[in-house]
Amino acid sequence: MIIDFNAYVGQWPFRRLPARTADEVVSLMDRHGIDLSVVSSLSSALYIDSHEGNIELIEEIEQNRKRFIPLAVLNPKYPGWESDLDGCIGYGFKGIRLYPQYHNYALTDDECLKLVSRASEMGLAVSVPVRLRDGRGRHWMDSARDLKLSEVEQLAKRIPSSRIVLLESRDVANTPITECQNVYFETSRMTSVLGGEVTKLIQSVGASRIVFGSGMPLKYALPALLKITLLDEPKEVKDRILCSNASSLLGLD
Amino acid sequence: MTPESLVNAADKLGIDILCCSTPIVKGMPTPEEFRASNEDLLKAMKDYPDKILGYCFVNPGYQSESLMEIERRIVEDGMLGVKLYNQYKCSDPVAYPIVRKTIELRVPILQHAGYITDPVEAALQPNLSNAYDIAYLASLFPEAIIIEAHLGGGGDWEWALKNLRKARNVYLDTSGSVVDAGMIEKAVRYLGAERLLFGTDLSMEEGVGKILDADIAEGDKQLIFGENMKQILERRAR
Repeated sequence: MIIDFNAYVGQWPFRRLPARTADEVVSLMDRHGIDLSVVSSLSSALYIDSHEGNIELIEEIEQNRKRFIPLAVLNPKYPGWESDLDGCIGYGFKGIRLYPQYHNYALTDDECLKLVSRASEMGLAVSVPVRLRDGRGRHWMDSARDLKLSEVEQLAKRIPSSRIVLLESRDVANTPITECQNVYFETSRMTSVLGGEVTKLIQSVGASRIVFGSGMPLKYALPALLKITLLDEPKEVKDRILCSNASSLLGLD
Repeated sequence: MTPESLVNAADKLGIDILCCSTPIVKGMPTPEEFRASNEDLLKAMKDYPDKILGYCFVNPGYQSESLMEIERRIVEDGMLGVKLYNQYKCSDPVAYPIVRKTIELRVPILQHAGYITDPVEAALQPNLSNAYDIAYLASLFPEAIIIEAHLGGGGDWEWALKNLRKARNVYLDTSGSVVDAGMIEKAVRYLGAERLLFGTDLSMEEGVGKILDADIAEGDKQLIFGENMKQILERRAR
């Protein structure tokens, strides 16, 4: 079984995507043998009220609910996030995803600390992408920064009860953030057969804090899959990365 | 990264031949420096004669030395073409003698390139060639074979495709860490699979995965993975 911890449904205004609807994303999942995708609303990155994207996401995945695990995108700088968070439980969200680059805040801002603290009290995992696209070719209206590892590290230390899944990171092996036991790492941008970052990370943090993610439908899924399937690691380790770690994080066991 | 680790990674991914270069990416390398860099590559070629082919890297600012180095590396050492980096824009007349030499030897130029939209990143490479520069150069030298490097590592790749569409003697390699979904399909739509060359730029899974994953004809994948480059390599021997 494969769980993709880094997937999206929705609109991305800067480039035409080959898959935008839930049905189209399911087709991509089927093509790659991905059973479940942990998704958040891509539209929420730029909606002024990100919670509207959450509602849209739930409506969109309704017909394919068994294939998706929704994460709510909340903006702690925008009013009403507390009640939006409470409402997310009823909608079936299993965690939250933050886009601080697009919502113009730092992870260590007081409001964000409150949000992460409260979500963690509710048992929700918190996922944060370092970025949603490569900045070298960014659209002129898209000035979002790449997240710094030190910012994530500070958040993890300030809220030790949180479980933070860092998406789209690279060059993390043997950096201080790996010492934060409450930080998990998604592998889509890491080197594997050449450079061996995934292997180094397994050696440094153990296989239990690493999860597979693709970045679909912003990115092709196969490169990320190859990074795990071609690893010189036992099947048990690959299974943890491809499935069981994500399953534990999301309370699916 | 060593030649051995690169070859091992290529073997895992089913890559038969690696067309490599060893450009000096900062400053204005002197003839002594680019000769030494090519010597390193030649050693790797000798260590892995069935696996590694080499592009000869030169700095066009040293014209006579560059032309001598190209002659030596291609004719005597069997290198496959010329690599130009970011010391000068390829549209700068300083590059023209190099282009003429590659036409004479019937070999390609692999041009490091990109259209970087982020101003901070762009400032790091003020003489970075882009697809417009390459298309211009190609129009001046229609007999030249020019390869624009790294569709997936040169910033706004859609901008590159639009500029290269009519530059018929320009190929585009697909390498780089960027794996934006739809990139290869659009490249095939704009340039045709006949003008695309598979590459990694050391982003190994990305390089292979984006071609395999693309929603294009199987025959087009075979062209991109090797058939097109094979024709370029055979051109020299004719």
